[in-house]
Amino acid sequence: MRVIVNHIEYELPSQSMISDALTLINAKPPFAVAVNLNFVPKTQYEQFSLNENDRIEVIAPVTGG
Amino acid sequence: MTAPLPNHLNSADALVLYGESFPSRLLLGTSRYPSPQILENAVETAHPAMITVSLRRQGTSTAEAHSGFWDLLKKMAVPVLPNTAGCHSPQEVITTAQMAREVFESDWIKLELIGDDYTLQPDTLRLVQTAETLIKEGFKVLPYCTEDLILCQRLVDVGCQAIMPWAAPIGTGQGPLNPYAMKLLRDRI
Repeated sequence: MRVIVNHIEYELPSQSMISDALTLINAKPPFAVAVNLNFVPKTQYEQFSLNENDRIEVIAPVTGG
Repeated sequence: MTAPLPNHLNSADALVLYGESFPSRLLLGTSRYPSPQILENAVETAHPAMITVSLRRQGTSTAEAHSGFWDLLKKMAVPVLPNTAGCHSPQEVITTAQMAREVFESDWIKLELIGDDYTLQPDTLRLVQTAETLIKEGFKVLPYCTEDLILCQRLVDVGCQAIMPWAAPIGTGQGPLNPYAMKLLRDRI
């Protein structure tokens, strides 16, 4: 199935979890995740099933004002 | 060698927000320093109450360029104030705040809800409702806002214990453009 991670399209097997998407992009801690603009706590990465066309955001700390 | 404490640190006149006491009244940004070392030196010298931080998508050039920032934050051990920079809707703000809370393990949030991309002027029409939602979710909200008295009053009414009115549009370096309004805020709030 097609998912979009940080604005880039990827193919994942159906019934993939968030943890699979994180592995796919080699996400490095610390980070936080949202799916379709909804925050997903890290405790749910292994259980949260992705759907076709889901938009996943993986964000990391940067400097800011 | 540790730098001497600056004169602005006065425990008798501490800044108290949301039940937390800060010996300094200085909030320091962390962006656009020439190097991480200079940022670290600035923080060590200034002893700020908090330093502002942000979040960006992993894999972007911005995030990659800041890959050492997390280690520096841990080393400096100064309370952080995450912002919601770049958010254009209340939903984006709330989601970003929730993500920031998990990453930084902090309930503090500098609420930024952008209404205009050029000036980065806050979306004043949706700011109060967004602040109220965040406060109900347990966040300690510091809203970036304009100097409008009624807006600021409403932000205080929904529970914001401090407001962050702009002096001039971000990045313009013009200094306070409306000192009368700023003084009025101090008089009325």
